[in-house]
Amino acid sequence: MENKSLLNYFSTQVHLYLDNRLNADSEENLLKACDQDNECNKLFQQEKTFRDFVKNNVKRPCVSTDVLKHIKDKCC
Amino acid sequence: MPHIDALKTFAFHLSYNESYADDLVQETYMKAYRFIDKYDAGTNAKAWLFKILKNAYINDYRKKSKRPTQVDYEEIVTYHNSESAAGPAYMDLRQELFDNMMGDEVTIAINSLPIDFRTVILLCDIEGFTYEEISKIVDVPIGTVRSRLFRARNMLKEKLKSYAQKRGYHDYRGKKKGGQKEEE
Repeated sequence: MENKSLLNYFSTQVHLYLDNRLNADSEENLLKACDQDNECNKLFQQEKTFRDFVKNNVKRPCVSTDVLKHIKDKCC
Repeated sequence: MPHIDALKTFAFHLSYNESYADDLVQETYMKAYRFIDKYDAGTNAKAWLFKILKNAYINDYRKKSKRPTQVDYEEIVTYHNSESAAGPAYMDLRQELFDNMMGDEVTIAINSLPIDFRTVILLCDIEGFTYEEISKIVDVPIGTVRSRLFRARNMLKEKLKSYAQKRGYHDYRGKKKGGQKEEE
């Protein structure tokens, strides 16, 4: 997969696949391309790794008990 | 309390301030409680709460700043001018890059993105909202959600790549055989 525009097209397809935006036919074509082309497969895995890394490493601070109590006092 | 942790994460990354994020979460539940009659039963409650929080943050932001900073404005204008551009440029990242990171840099990198781009990343990649839900939460067309996401992810990759390079990781692809990482 040396053509840059093909690479960009494939990159777009990977993004859309991981966002659940591809129809069944496009999904099948993408997965077939991954099976047949190492570069495609590598790109797919890199994008997936990137998404997982971001999702798993983002800071998720907890709500303080004071805030929880305040909300419950006002709303419940 | 439904979705409170997710709301806190969203609020924290919008404001990058824990105490203010708590205030935003509290304000969100107060507003939801006050305007519960506006909520259509059976529709997505999480998306509704996120929209309330996003609006509360934007309203506060507008009150506090008379105008957006020059850098953000330029970024958004440039972005909107190229909104209809077909797809993302391919942005490569080596898997090894992630091995050198602790996690804090993800938070720092996300928080350094312009607000419009940060918002879609948080809603899609962190909270798992669909394009349709994001479109309703941020009041932009689905095509705009899609292009913002592509752009935001590439910006995030650039930032993480720069961070890795500062930490001693170098990408030698295309320059030299091997392309192994090198510690400084």
